[in-house]
Amino acid sequence: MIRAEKLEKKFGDVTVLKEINVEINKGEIISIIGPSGTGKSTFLRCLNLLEKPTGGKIYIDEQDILDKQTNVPKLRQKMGMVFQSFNLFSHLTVLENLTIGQIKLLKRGREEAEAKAKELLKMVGLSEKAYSFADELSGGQKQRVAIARCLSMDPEIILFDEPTSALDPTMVSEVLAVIRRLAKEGMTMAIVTHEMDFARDVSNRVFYMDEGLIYEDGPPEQIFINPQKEKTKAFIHRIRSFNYHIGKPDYDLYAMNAEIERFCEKHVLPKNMIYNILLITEEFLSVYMPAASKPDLNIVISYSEKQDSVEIAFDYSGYEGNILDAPVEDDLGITIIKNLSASVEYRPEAARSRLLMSLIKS
Amino acid sequence: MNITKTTKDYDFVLHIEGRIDIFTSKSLAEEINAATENKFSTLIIDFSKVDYISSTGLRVIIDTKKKINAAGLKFELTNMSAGVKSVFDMTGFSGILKIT
Ligand SMILES: Nc1ncnc2c1ncn2[C@@H]1O[C@H](COP(=O)(O)OP(=O)(O)OP(=O)(O)O)[C@@H](O)[C@H]1O
Ligand SMILES: [Mg+2]
Repeated sequence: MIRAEKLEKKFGDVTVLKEINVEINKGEIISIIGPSGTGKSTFLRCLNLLEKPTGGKIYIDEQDILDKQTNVPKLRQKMGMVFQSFNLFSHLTVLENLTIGQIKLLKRGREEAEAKAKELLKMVGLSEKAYSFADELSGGQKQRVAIARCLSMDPEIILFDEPTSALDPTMVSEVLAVIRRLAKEGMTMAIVTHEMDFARDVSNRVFYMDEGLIYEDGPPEQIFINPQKEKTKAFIHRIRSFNYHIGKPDYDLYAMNAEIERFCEKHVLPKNMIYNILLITEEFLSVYMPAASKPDLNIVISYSEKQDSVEIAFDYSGYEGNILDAPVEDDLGITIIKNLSASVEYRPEAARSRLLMSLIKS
Repeated sequence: MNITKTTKDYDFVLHIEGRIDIFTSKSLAEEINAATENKFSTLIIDFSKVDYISSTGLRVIIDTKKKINAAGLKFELTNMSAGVKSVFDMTGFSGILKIT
């Protein structure tokens, strides 16, 4: 659907996008994450030509959009964009905001445009605001109108640039709910966001941007739980999860516990949940450590605010197979692990194994 | 982990303080063994200051129960916090131990 080849963007002699090679397919929901200043906004702006790339090519449905022959406004209509600041016409009513583009650019009749606008307002839960002026709305409502306006143009893809970062925290969820709904309906979307829980559960593909590149591109489970590359790992680690590596038989349980507790307290997890996390971890270790020929274990604990749940991933080598099936004296430890987890999932991989457990905050 | 002992009539009480985990269970087992040298009719373990127990601790407890019962004596656990008690519950140990 959209393909960038060697896309480059320089501001003066500063190269912000070095070389972006990527293809976005129909139906994909892509979250774009990464540290500040790594060109996430610039990338989106280049895609719909709000910025002119200084090198490379962009194809939309195989049409080269940088080609002078191309009808750019027409192509741009295929791509909606939603910004951090809502960019509504404040002196127009909500309904007018939603019809103006349809009438002017799509040449729709007023009646048709209004019918479409009303249908979209219903979808974003703002039917009763049709005749309010845009500046009478709250931030969350404005952003929902902005999304509806974008949809009124029948885009094939919507690009979101931090749609919730200008919002009061209480209004974030209403906007995310609308985006989630679009995701369910199969809308193709690319979303720059700092809402990691949201990125993780709404998207089916994640771009981590760094060094002027799409530094790592993968499904959310890869990027958020098991990132492959150095800088992605460091970023994810900083943001939301606890990571602990054990590479030798004599590990320091108490140092590890202290770190787990600090992480849990940072996320204000209740005491009983902290207890359960420590217990699962110890029970895992007491089966894994004696069983492993050469222990090499990554423990990743991640907290999802949205789902109020904690996931513990034990990513290990040195023992082939599921640790929960390892031969043990008795099944006490395993019983405890299974009792404390809402779900347990074993995922064998090439050289390593991963055991995922989730705990629900109760 | 810290253990103090008191006696009352024919009871011998071990007050445990701290965590019973993979690293402290061994010394708990040793302390209990030493305690069983004494004369008593009931051995009581006071859990009021225990904030954590894992399966290794449960094994020590269940071994103790077997030994003490085999000698015709009684064994009791008291004052457990909810977190600690839940570990006894989920493993089915609450059903075979006397927990007061
Ligand atoms: N119009 C411009 N002129 C000059 N430099 C610019 C311009 N727009 C962006 N930049 C620079 O390009 C770099 C990337 O900016 P961009 O806004 O794309 O980053 P970002 O990843 O979206 O960051 P954030 O997470 O803070 O929004 C920054 O160093 C920024 O200062
Ligand atoms: Mg930005």
